[in-house]
Amino acid sequence: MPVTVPTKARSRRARFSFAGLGVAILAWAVPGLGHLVLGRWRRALAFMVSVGGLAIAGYLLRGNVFPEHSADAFGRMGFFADAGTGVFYYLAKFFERVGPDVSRAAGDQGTRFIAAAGLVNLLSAFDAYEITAGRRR
Amino acid sequence: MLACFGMAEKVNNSVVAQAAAFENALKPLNHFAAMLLFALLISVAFAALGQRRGLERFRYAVWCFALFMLVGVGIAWLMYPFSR
Repeated sequence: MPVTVPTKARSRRARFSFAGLGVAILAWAVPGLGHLVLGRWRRALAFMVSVGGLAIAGYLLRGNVFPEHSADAFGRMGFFADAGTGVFYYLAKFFERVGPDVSRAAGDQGTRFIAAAGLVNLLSAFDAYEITAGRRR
Repeated sequence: MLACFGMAEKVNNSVVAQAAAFENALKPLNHFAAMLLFALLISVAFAALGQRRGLERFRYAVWCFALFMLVGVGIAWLMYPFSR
């Protein structure tokens, strides 16, 4: 016997929000901007501080920033995580003028800081999308 | 021409000085301080991502931070016998 999904639940699941996509892109490009547009300034500030703090600390620790074209899968995953920081990915050259140094533990920690910043920012972009689509408060 | 080279050297020196200043900014950060900073910033983000509000959100951030530190120090002690 087929399971029937309530109409309301089905329509909520299927609905795609273009406005949500726009806000999510803003949230990805500049950490916190998406939530600021939605009027959630506390969340915006929290994401700006955490993503910016993690990314800048990672650069100052001389973490590795993965380039766009990597030969292996780990490099591509690293790029995906780093690019998640949005505008901070392009600020890497400003903060890390002498390049990464992963020969020391600090450089290795910096690489994790930058990747974590990217993943947190991607989560914030999903959050902004869900708020715009009306699925979250 | 020589004046031009002098200017280029000045600009280059300032870039090197700026790079050194950036380099030294986080030099005193040891492993524990790095873990502290990481735990603090991630806890703030986790608290912001949750559905909680106000004081409850702050409590969740503190709880996350405490767990990060506890688990981090716990794993460090577990690895201690194998480090030498």
